[in-house]
This record gives sequence, C-alpha cells and structure tokens, in this order.
Amino acid sequence: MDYFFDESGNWQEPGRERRRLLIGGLLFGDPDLERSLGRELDIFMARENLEQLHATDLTPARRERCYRLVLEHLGEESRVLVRSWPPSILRSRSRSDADEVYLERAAALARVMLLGDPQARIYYDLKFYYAYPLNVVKQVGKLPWYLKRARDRFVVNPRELARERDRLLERLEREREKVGRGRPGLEEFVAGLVGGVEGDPLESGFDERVVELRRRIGERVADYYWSELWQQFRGQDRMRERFRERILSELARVRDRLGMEDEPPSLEIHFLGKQENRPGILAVDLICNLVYRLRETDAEALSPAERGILDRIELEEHDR
Amino acid sequence: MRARIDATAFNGRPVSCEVDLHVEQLSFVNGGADEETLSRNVRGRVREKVLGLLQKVLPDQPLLEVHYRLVSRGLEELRANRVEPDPDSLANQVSRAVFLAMLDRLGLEPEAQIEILRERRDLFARVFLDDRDARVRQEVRRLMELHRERRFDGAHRLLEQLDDESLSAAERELVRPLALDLALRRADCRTEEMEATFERYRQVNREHPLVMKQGYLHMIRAMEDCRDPLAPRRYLEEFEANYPLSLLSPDERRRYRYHRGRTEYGRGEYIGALELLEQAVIDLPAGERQLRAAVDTVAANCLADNLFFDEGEQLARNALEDRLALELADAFESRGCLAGISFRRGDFEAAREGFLDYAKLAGDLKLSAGERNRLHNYLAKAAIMLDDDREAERQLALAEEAGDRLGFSAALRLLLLLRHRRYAEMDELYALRCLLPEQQRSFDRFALGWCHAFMARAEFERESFDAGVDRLFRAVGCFREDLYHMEAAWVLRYLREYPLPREALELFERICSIDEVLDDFAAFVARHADLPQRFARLLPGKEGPAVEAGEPLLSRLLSELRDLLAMRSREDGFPLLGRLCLY
Repeated sequence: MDYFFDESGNWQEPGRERRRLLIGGLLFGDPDLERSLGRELDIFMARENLEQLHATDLTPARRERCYRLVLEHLGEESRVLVRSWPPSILRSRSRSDADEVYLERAAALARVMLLGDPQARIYYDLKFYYAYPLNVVKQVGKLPWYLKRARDRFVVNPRELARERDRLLERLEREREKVGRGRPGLEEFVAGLVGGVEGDPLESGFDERVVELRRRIGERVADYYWSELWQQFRGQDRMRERFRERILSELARVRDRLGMEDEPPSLEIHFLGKQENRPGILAVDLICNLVYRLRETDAEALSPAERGILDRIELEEHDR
Repeated sequence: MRARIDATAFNGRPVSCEVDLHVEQLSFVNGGADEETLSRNVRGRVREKVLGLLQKVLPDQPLLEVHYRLVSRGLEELRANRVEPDPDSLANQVSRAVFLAMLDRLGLEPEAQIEILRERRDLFARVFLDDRDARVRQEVRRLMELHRERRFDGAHRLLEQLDDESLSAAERELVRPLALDLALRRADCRTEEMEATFERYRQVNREHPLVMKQGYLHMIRAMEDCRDPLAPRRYLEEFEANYPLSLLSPDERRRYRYHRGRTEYGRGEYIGALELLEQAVIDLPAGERQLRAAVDTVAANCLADNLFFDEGEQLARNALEDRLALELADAFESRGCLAGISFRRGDFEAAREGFLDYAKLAGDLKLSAGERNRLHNYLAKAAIMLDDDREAERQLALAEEAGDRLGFSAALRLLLLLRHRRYAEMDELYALRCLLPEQQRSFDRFALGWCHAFMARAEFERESFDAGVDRLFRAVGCFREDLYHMEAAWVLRYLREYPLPREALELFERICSIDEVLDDFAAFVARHADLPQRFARLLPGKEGPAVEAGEPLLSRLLSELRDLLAMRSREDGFPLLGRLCLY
C-alpha cells in the first residue's frame, strides 16, 4: 500500500517555531481514490491557473475547495494519523540534532501506519536540508570526479555574478552570526568573495588585476553552488537510507515483541517535492496545514469540509 | 501466560499477535475493576465466561463478580501501535488466563479440568472468598515493619523462621521481594552474587509481574548503590522490555524515573537525565523530601558538569540539608557533589574541606571497593592541587589499595608526578598502567583521557613534541569517544600553552581537526547552554518564571578556547581557562 507523509511547523530552525510541530501520515487504502483525487486536483489547478498546490500559499476560498476534494476522497479504508509536539522538543538543539529528532518521530509514526503491511511504499515530502553553508564551504574542492568534470566546464554568467555573489554573501553572513566569527575556512571563503581590493571589483575597473579578481570571485561562486549540489545529493541518499533503516528496525522490534510471524515487510521510500503534484502528498500537506492552524482557529469558524476532515483523522498530541 | 490473539493493524490489515497475560490479585469477593487494561466490553465477556463456567461446577457458591488485575506488556504495545485486538479473541484468552491463575493459586496443575473444583470447593472458598488482609499473618506484618525501619538484621532473622511453603499466595507477594532485598544487601556489591540471586528470583517469580516489579526495583536500587552506572541500566531496560509501566504505582513511577535519570546522567546524557528527573518530581507530595533530595543531587551534578555552579550548588545544598535532617545515609553523596563544585571552580581549600566532610559522613557506611577508591581519589586530588604531597601520596595509596579498576587513581598519580616533573616515573607508570590493551579496555575513557593528557603535557615540557602530539591526540580521542566534548576541547589549549614548533602543530592538524573538536563542543554548548531555564521547575523557587539568563560559563569557555586556538588576544585575558579546573 502507498503511504504519504508530510509535516508542518518549522522543523529546520530549532527555536523559531512558536506553535506546534507536526508530522502526518495518510493511507488511502484504495489506490483508485488517490488517482481520482489526482484528476480532480488537476482540473482544479487548470481552472485556477495554478502550477503548484501548497496549502500555505492558497487563498482561503481555494483551500476550502481543496479540502472538499480531499474529504470526498477519504474512503472507508483510508487512514490518517497526525502527531503533534510542542516546539520545546527542538529547543536548544543544533540543526543536525533537530534532523535526528525529526527522523526519530517520523519513523515512529511510519511504524504505526505500516505495521502488518508486507509491501509498503512511502512517499515523503522532503524537508531535510543538508547543505548548511559551513559544511558547503568545508567541502569546496572535494567533488567526485564526475561532478568535478562538469564543474570545471561551468562558468557563472558574468551578468548574474554580482547578484549571485551578494546573495551568497548574505547567506554566509547569517551563517557567521550563527556559528560565530573567526571560523578559519569560512572567513577565508568570505574574504575571497569580497576581493580584498579597494572598491568592489565587480562594479568597477578593467585593469588586469581587477579582471583576474573578478574571475576568481566567479570561480568561488561556482565552487560554492557545485559543492552545495553535492551536499544535497549526499544528504538525501544518506537520509533516505537512515530513514529506511530506522523504520525497518522499529518494525522489527515491534514485530518481535508481538510475536508476529508473517513475512518481514519490504519497504520502498521515495522522497518527493510538492512540485511533483502527487495527490497523496498534496492531500497530507493540506491536512497537516489544517491541524497546524487549528489552535489559532475558532471552532465555529471551521468550514464544513474542515470539520469533516477533522472528524476523519486521528490526532495525537504529545507533550514531549 | 503467552497467548495468540487476532487483531487489526492501524492500516486495516488483520494481524495475529502474541501477548503476555498475567492475572494478578484474583478474587471473587473484593478488589477493583481493571479499568485501564481492558475495555468494558471485553471485561463483560470475560466475566460471563468465567462465572458461567464456575457456576456449573460450584452452583452453591455465591459468585457474583470476578475481580483481577490484568498485567500485559503486549497489550500496551498493541495500544501504542494502534493495533485493535479482536474482542472475542482477547476475551477467550483472558478467560483462559484467569482460569490458569485460579488453578495456580489453588496449587493445582495447569492441565487440571474445571470439574476438579467440585472436590476442592472448601479450598476454593478459603483461597478466594476470604478477606485478603486477614490472611496476612502476624510474622509477615512484623517482617514488613522491620524492613521499613531498615532493621535488616532483625528482618533477616525473622525471615529465616518463615517457611515459604506455608505462605499463602498473597503473603508470598509481600515476602519474596523483601527476601530478595535482604539478600542483595548482604551481597554487599559483590555483583556476581547479586546477579545470581536475582536470576534465581526471576526463575521462581517470572509469571508474577507484581512480585517481579518489586524485585526489579530492589535490584536497580542495589546496583545503583554499587555505583556502576551501566549495571542498573541493564535492569531498567529489561524491566521496560518485559513489563508495562502501568504496573507501577504513581510513587513507584516517580522512583523509577529517578533511577532512569540517574543512569542517563551516568552515561553523560544530561538532557535526557534532567527530563526524567523533572518527571520524577512532577506531582511529588510536598512532604516527600527523601526522593526530592535524591533527585536534587543528581540534577545538581548534571548542572555542575555543565558549569552551572550556582544552580548546582543551590540544589546540592538543599539536598544535603534534607538528607541530614532526615538522617539519611546518602547525605554523603550530596556533600561530595558540593565539594566537586568547589573543586571545579578552582577553590581547592573548600573542596578539600568538603571531601573531608564527605569522608566523615560516609565513614559509618559499608562502602564498596569502588566507593572507597573514589573517596580516597577525591581527597588525593584536593591534596595534589594544594601541594600537600604527603597527604596526596597517602590518599592515593589507600585508593590503589581499594582497587583502581577504572583508572582514576592512575590519572591522579600521573598528575602528582607531573607537578614535580618526575617524568621518568611517569613514563614507567604510563607504560605499565595505560598502554596495555586490557587496561585500555577496562579503564574509564574519561580517566584514560586524562592519563594521556597529563602525558602530553609531560612530553611538551620535555620538548618531545611529536610524542606529545601523539598523547594529546589519544586524549582527545578518548574524550570524544565518550562524548566529553568539553574536556576534548579543553585539552587543545596545550597546543598554545606550550611552545610547539610549526611542524608539531601541522602534525596534530593532520591527525585531528581542531575545527571539528571545537564544532562538537559548540554543538554541545548549543544544546546545554540553557539547562537552568529549560529545567527551571527543578530549581528551588523557580517553578513559575524562567531563570534569569546571563551568558553561561559554557559559552564563555567556548569563546575563550576559540580565541586562544586562533591566537587572538582578549581584553579580559582568558579568565576561565585560568580559573576553572576540569580535573
């Protein structure tokens, strides 16, 4: 069976979330329901001239229409489980620790939903972000050969260079504020982007030295983006494998405790983005968004479709 | 008993699960309904089945109700995983479990047929239709009293007079855990003997969760008294794997959380420990000062290990006062915690005074070898820092005589020798005590880390820089292996405090990334810098508003280390690096 997962709340920046952190899982039970929802959503998006559906970006009227469609496609065999936690579970954790907490909670939810299913496929809207600037800078120049070959033939469009460089400097500045100034690798990288001459070499001057500096800045920007790309690939692969292992080990532990003698489950995990418009992912995104807004919304103000969905889902609120 | 039941998983799939079902406190005249474990529907079906069957063979007995407590780790597991048992299937198995428990209480074979009760109606009436309290005899009550009053020798003598065979099932539930506790106390931290005793207990009582529960609580307490942080953890995990936590009363649950918090602290998991300790004191009755003092002492250690000295001191002081007022034997532990804080602050006079008090308070107690070693190590390290060499020697000799299994005395002896530049003796001791693989395995990583660190300093002082780099690398490795990120970063200071040539620095950088060590420490600081605010409920008078936050010493220490290693000068110098003493 196919399971869809998504989350709400700011899991990426520990300490920033003020409401709740959520992870939700959805199982249609009948694959026709998902297919039918997909057709309806396609028509809706075409009529509304939308390229993507993302709950937080929709107007209330459009969201309501989507909720109605989702509700109509939750059948007898459909199951939805949403768990929520206070933001304190992430407070004071580093980003990599926060990923770890997320992984642990997501795997525990998946375990409950998958238990007893011999052949499960998970579709997950990916939220991990692996390419923190400090790591990216550390890995500059360490690309595998096939990426290095592409990198060596890549040049940043000179017209875009100033904008790209400034954007990058902004990100690195934020990183310096977070991790503290004086990190040797980071400081040198930033210095290299600025150029070290009087005035900005990207804005003025055509003498040989300035042209050379400009070339080097372009190289650095390119180095950064290729290193970032590599970190994203590596991070996704690593995270998918860890997520898979974690779910399987959770399932094995519970199956062992409950003496379940059927065949051990096989598990496929696909990381998808909302831009891929998979109906299950869009539906679980809408549901998580509804639950996330719930505490702020007056119960009277809920629409019939919203109330209908809330009646159909299992909601667990955890303290820690 | 274990039983297979049909159920439905959350995703709607039918599954077949095996669960444990333990029927306890079975009675047909009094007792509470088992509201938590079974639904009203299942309870009704069980009642119908059991009473229906009994009325066929005992038609003249006044059986109107069946009371029992069902204990099942498996049913809890099902609930946690949202697996719904089939009511019929579950009711059948619970009825079987009730029937088997009844036969067991009557002393009959599990294979016996129900018809046998026609011949044993008197026995049935005596066991199940009597008032439970009346069946607890005088000696058993006396035994419980003696145990509660900690008059263990008297309790032991009385226990020897009791014949287990003559005890009723209810009496056995009371007596067996006490007998185990007395046996564990007599084993006096001889862990093999304790484990064997517990294993025998487990064999006999495996099917009686309430008796097992008491046994586990006694065993965990006994293991903790032996001060081996890993040993109680094993029993805690075992208990959690086999028995449901709902088995514990609110008071037992609090104590259980305290024990778990303490073992987490022993592993260096400060946040997990404080979370558990916080849970242990939620809803703690106001007068319950014994548990509160125990919790406060562990919390004080967690905070002080993260350089929150004021908060740690406040907690430890409260705990000490309470324990002294209640005349509790473990007051020495709170005193030791306070002395440890003085030591880390660099106030060695106060530390020595504290450790002497600690020794005095522990004087009347029967200490295990490990505890004696620790006590003399504490006194030795204070003496070393105060340059009282004769006393340091004397205390170290006593510590070593008690047995230096974990290597803390070896580290202190290296420190003593280092302060007197007795390098040749250091080399000899280091080669003999710290480099052999078997010692590397048995020594505590923290102690071994300090052995390497002191040797690194000795090598740097002798200008044997490559060897020093090797020792320092080993020290950092030991600390990081056991997640002592602060100590790993702390010893990097030697790279700047000794005149290492460029080649030696480059060598160190090649084998160990300074950035990574500092990053790990930074991540540790980020996680732990707000402990007093996060766990304000544990601090006295801080149950409402959050604790005032200044810049914690942890963050300041990180900043000093970063500046020192980047060779940046600071207006205020390096006050923490000059003042704190991490060993």
